Amino acid sequence: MKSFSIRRVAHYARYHYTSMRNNYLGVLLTMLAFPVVFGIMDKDTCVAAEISMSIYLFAGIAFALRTTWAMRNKGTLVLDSALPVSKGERFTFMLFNLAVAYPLACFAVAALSILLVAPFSMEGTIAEAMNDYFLRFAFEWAVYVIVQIVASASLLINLAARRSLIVAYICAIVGVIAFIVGASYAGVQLANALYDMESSEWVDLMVADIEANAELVRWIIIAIFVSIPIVFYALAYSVLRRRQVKW
Amino acid sequence: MIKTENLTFGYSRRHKVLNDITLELDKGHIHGLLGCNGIGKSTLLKLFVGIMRPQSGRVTINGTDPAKHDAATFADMMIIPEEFDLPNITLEEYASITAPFYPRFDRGSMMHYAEELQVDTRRKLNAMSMGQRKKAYIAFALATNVRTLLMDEPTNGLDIPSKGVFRRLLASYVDEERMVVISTHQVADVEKLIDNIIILDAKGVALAATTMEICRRLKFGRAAEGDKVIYSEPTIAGEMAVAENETEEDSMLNIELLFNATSANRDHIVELFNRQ
Repeated sequence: MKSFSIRRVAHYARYHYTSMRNNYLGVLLTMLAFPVVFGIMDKDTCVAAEISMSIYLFAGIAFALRTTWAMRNKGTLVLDSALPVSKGERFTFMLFNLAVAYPLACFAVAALSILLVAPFSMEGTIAEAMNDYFLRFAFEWAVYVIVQIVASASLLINLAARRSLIVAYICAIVGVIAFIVGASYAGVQLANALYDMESSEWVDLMVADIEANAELVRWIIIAIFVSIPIVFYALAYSVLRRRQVKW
Repeated sequence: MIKTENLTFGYSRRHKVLNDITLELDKGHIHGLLGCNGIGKSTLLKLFVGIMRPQSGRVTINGTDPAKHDAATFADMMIIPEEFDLPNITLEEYASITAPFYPRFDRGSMMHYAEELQVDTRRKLNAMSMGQRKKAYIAFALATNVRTLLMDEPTNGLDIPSKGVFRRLLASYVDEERMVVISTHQVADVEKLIDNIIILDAKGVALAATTMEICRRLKFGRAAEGDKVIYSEPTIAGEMAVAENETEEDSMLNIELLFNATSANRDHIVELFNRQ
């Protein structure tokens, strides 16, 4: 028997979606309900599109939770973990679910919500709302990367947290806030130090250098940005391979 | 073969559940894993399927580490937990999505086992009672024809007729190539099935021997004068004892009595079974 089989990944996907279909249905209906209700209340398809945008950004948390649900839930943990699927195959499915299935599900739900709101809409049209959602938002690569940062971080938290997920999410949020505050503080301190040292000549040179290499700097920033979800996914795989998910 | 070497595990560093467990479970047997509540029987089964990892020592299933989760090893192994949830689908649907993982799965056998256990294969699994759900899963598990079947309290929740059917099905399941490990408190339910007994306690493995070996070294029943009694307890039928079987007398194994004797007089039992 091969150690990695795409056929087994497909079998696991079928097993997962069939056994979790009610859970996913709940997530999809919730994702549909908000834009439809608010869209109808405002009589505007564009409102439905805007709410769908917010949902797209954060639904990764719900999808990551569903992806690892059977491995964390006390009643299903043993049966799911004992399935003859290798860690690599399991992770391939997780990657497919979060990187492909989740965005496609969000697109389908957003399109459906716009279509459902359209008969009640007095302002926006279907075309305007679709344009807003898809062309100006969802198909932007930067949006996809942000969505994947949220999804991959959630997957990592779901795999790494041994006990309470809520505590793990709180710790992660506090950690991110602390990092941002710390980095901003360090940046301000560094800037002040440079000016205090009256090394404005050096700062000017640095600014000039950045402006001269704007394209290169842009690519470096993009590379860092894109590498964030890749690093999170790599860490999630490492956690999945090296330790049990939950007691 | 399942092998553990100096296996130690705890849910925290301070609180050890399993201590220095060294075992060899061979194919061709029904192994009974006995021990008091919280001694780590279920945990040991979870270590066998790689859900948990030992703090020290090692577990191997046919030479592979279960924590690596090799698909080939797991395709030949199945666990029935004590309590579990199944999806909101019928047994037939469940089999259709799970059977592709098990190359020797036989749908006809599953239907036969389900019929024997009186399980409605068209009823939603999560709408069933725990006992019904367990019977459904037992029918599925037996039909996978895996060579290593692990069961945690399999008779819990089963009605009296089903326990009889379960014993019959399990007895016919085991052959020279297969093994079953049953962790249970309900020794009376599986007393006639088990042919290798492992008793765990806080110090580790108190006893690991075949029923034949146990009956060769110990005798069960009313003690006669001059018997070296290890343990005795009053029952409705009189004082029942476990004594050294110095004359190689035949007696009927009483697992409950053996368990109590091991708990009360561990060192004597250990010393007796270590004797050549």
